[in-house]
Amino acid sequence: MGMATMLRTDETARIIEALLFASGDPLTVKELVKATDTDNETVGIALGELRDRYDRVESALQVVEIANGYQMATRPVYAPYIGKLLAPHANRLSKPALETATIIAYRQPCTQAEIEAVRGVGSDGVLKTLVERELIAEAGRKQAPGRPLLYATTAQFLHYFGLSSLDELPALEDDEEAQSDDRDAAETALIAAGMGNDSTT
Amino acid sequence: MTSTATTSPHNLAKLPFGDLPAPILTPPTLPMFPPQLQVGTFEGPLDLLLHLVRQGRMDIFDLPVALLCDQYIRYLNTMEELDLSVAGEFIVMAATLIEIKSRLLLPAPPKPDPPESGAPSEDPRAALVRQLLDYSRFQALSQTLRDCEGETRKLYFRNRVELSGEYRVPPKFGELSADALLRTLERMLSEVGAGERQITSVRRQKITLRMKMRELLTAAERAGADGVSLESLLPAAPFLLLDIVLLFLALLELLKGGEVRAFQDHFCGEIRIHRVSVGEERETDGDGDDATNR
Repeated sequence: MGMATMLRTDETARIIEALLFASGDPLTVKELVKATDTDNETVGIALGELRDRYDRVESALQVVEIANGYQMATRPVYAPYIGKLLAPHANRLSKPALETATIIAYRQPCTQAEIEAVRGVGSDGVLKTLVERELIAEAGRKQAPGRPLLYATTAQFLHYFGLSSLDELPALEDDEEAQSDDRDAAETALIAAGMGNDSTT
Repeated sequence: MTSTATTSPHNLAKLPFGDLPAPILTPPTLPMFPPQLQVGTFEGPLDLLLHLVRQGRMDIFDLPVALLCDQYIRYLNTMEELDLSVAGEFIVMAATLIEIKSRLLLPAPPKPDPPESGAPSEDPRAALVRQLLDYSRFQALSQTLRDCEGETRKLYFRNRVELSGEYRVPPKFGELSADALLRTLERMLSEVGAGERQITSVRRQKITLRMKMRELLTAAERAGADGVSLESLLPAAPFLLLDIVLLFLALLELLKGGEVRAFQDHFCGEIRIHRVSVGEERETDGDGDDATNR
């Protein structure tokens, strides 16, 4: 019984290896289960085995968890060599683009006006760039006057930043709580200062 | 570093800066000048304000608005002196700062009775402080994402196998989906004009009948007893009408001169052209003469 399971995960690992090699795009566990005709558990164990194997033989390749799935990639140490041979990646995001993408990631789906309220500057061009690079996409319209477009991040966003899911984003020191704490603190401070604000002005 | 080109270094000394670090780049002539502030590198008014707050170690919860406002406006003036256009958002923020400052100067409205349901009259700075805090938080987070970006750029992924979309199990008759039709249309459109080279210069090709005849003759000669097929002599696609006409004219001319013979095995079959050997040439000479005489 144990032997049979071992053989099964062994073979499943090899099948997954073939699938990842052929696919190029990240494959989800669900897709792997369907293709290998097994179950979540087997795929999970097989994936672990596959990743271990690549580590054990110190392969230049690795299996990474990215954009809600698994994908084969080279190891970072070899990046300089690959960069010498192949055309480099697309440009890094500009500071405004990165800032805008960050805001959308945490506030999605959100409108252009909401983004601009945080940034304090017009964000027309930046949004266009992000849509063109497929890091964000339109996600319907807000039920508000003017029915403005909503934006949300895409799977490409996760892939670009090497995240397996949005949960991996660093916590936004709790938007509601921390902020209201901040605000309470800020307000008490402000109110206290409000009495004697002549000194500051 | 490059935007200093338009400014004379004398401006630097004149600027009234107080404790604000000079918002000027260090030109190469002033290496001692610490480049703490760079003109034009701020993403927006909030970015600049945050910078000023941090630089001046101001308490963000008790913003010294007057000081901040002064520094902010001084900075905008510097930008103008440097002939940098100041974006509208920066000016709006200046107005906001002045408004907050003036509201702080006004005596607070008499407090209503404590049980009043309304919130205590909000400090005029509160909204700005909230905005600054919010913005600074996202700035920090975007730095984290910048690191993620850098790490991921070290990974190279296999690209999807090209063409994989083109090899699909053919659908049964009548099962063609709109999607498949669209894909086919896209593929056909993408093939339109494939292999065409962009025309950079057009040169007039000079091909004379004599050249073509010589070409045909050498080809037939080289082919020997088997003869050369007419088709192989046709130029490669795209055909030029002139090429084809010339080839046929040359063939006819050579046939007339009895220098080659054309054979065809069967109806619509391949036409092969043989060089007439010297011995044969004489007897065909007569035919040729006949033809011209006629």
